[in-house]
Amino acid sequence: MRSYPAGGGEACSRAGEKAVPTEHGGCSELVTGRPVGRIVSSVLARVGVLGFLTALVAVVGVIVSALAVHGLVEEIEPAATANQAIYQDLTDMSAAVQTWTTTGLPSSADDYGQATLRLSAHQREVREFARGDRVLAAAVAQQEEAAQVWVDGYAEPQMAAEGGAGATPRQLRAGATAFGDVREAHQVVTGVFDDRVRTANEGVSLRLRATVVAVVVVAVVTWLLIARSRRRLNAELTNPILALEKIVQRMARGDHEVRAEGSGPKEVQAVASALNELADAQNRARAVEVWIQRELRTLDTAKDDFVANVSHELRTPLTTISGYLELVAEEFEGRMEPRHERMLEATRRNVARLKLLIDDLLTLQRAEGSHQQMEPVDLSALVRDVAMDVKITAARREIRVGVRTPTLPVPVLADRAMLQRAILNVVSNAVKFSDEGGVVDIVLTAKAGKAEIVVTDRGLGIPNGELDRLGTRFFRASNAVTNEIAGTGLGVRIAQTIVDRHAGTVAFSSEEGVGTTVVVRLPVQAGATQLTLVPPEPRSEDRNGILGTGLVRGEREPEPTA
Amino acid sequence: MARILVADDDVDIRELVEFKLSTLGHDVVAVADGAAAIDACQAERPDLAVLDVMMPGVSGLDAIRAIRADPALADLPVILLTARAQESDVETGFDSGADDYITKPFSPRELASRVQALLSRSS
Repeated sequence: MRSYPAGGGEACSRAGEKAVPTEHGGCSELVTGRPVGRIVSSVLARVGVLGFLTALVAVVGVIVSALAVHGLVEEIEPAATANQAIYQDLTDMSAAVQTWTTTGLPSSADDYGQATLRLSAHQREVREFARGDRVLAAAVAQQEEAAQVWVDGYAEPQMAAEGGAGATPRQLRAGATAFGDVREAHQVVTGVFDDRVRTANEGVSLRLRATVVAVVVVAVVTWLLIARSRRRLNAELTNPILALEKIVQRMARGDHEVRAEGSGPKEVQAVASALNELADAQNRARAVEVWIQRELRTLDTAKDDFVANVSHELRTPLTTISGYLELVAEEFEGRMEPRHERMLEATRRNVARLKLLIDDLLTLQRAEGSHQQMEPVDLSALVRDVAMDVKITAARREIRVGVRTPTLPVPVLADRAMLQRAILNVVSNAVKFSDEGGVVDIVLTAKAGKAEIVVTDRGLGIPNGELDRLGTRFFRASNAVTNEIAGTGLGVRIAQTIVDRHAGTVAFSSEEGVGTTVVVRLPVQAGATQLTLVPPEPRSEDRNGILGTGLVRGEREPEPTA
Repeated sequence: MARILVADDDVDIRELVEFKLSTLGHDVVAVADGAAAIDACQAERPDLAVLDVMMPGVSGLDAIRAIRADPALADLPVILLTARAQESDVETGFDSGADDYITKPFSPRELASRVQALLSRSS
């Protein structure tokens, strides 16, 4: 007893401890990977953050640079200008003092007063700016001090004196010396201011450069991150999908053992798992199919063996009976009464019938089996051979057998002996059911890849209601039984089975009392012109073969002697 | 006339052949299996042997091979009796060295004519 292959059950075991039965009755493995959406969005988030960072760095850099420029333009430069103004004021004062001392014009006294006011305003402005800058503050203080020395020691005493009186050379020298100190102090302050402006300019350009560098750095980092993400997406998304595609292709090519790996994103894992389940199910179905085919083959062989054994077991006693009957007939030849001869004849006739039945059963079993030896056969020659076979039998009852076949060979792929048997059955039936002196026509035509054998007789015909039962085992037409025409009821069935095995068809049309037409259609072998047709075997070898019985079948049952 | 060996495990068929060939005046030696057939061939030196294919123990085909292996019996005409008529069986029969074969059920008259034909050919 063979065990049936395991059905379900094992399918889910691979899924591990968390096998979940799905609504389709299958099992789905626990899927552990991340979904595609999450993988992609994490990458997008990183790229987004870096993009934002780039923008931020750019904006901050621009603001810082702008502030530096603002400081330069709005603070340092006005202060430097005010510092220049201080020297101008002092120069104006010096000019006013000189005008006053030489001419005594009242306008010069006004000029001096205004210049003094401007000077203190400008000095305040510069002092304000210099606060917090120690070097600048010291220089500014030095300048103010020198200015004060000049004002207190020379300008103020000159202005206080009578205008137009002129200054003494000694006073002039002292004033020039004091102004020289002022100029020197001013040059120092101007130098410091130049230094400050230069520093501020450098700061601005440094900030701009830093901004550019920072933006470039962030851009490079972003680019690196994108490249890394691309590699990661490849590894996490593309590669598992491509691997899965390879697996599917291998499955399609017939690799039944290959299974998809459970890697990659959740969706890919789910597809892989479903694919594996499908492959498992297919393997199980295939196993069942193989099992069924094996069982069928076993059954077929058993049936073949049974029929062969039974027919062998039947033939042995049949040989004995028919042999001894023959011996008895020989021994008593000429000494028997007519009724004894009739008894012996009836016995002999029925032994022959039994023999025919066993032969037909064995032939049918062989036709139903699959042990066929297909070879290219010329149907034209085969049909002519069959006609030759029946002509002798037909001639005894003066039945004319006409054959018409194409002159060229009609190649078909066939088991020669079997196909010959099928056509012989059809043709010998036509002869058997023909009236004495009748006509049987056999016409073979071949066109468009189909060969057609039409066998027509003008004999007994088949009753209308019985036509559809033709070809069922042991069926015999009622008029054949009434007319005592011998037969096993297997001939048509055998012919149909054999033609069916050759991918052909058998069609019947008949009218009782008018005749029967049988059409056998067979596929012509394509490109068979290149094939060498196997010549028919010598006829002598058929004398004891299955073909021999066909001749007996054609004979009308001898009339019982009155 | 001639000495003929008949081997068949079925007693009725053995006797049927024996009767028919005796009627024709032959000296018939009948045995029931293949091993006895080989022994009888060596001991009795028949002019012809009729062997059934399906016999218990040593089959007809095995017996033919054994007979053909013996140089003294290599030319002995042998007719096989077979219950099957498939071409492959017939081929096996001829391949193993049979001169003729007859399918069961056979007519004693047919067998007799085959025997006569083989005898006249070998003499």
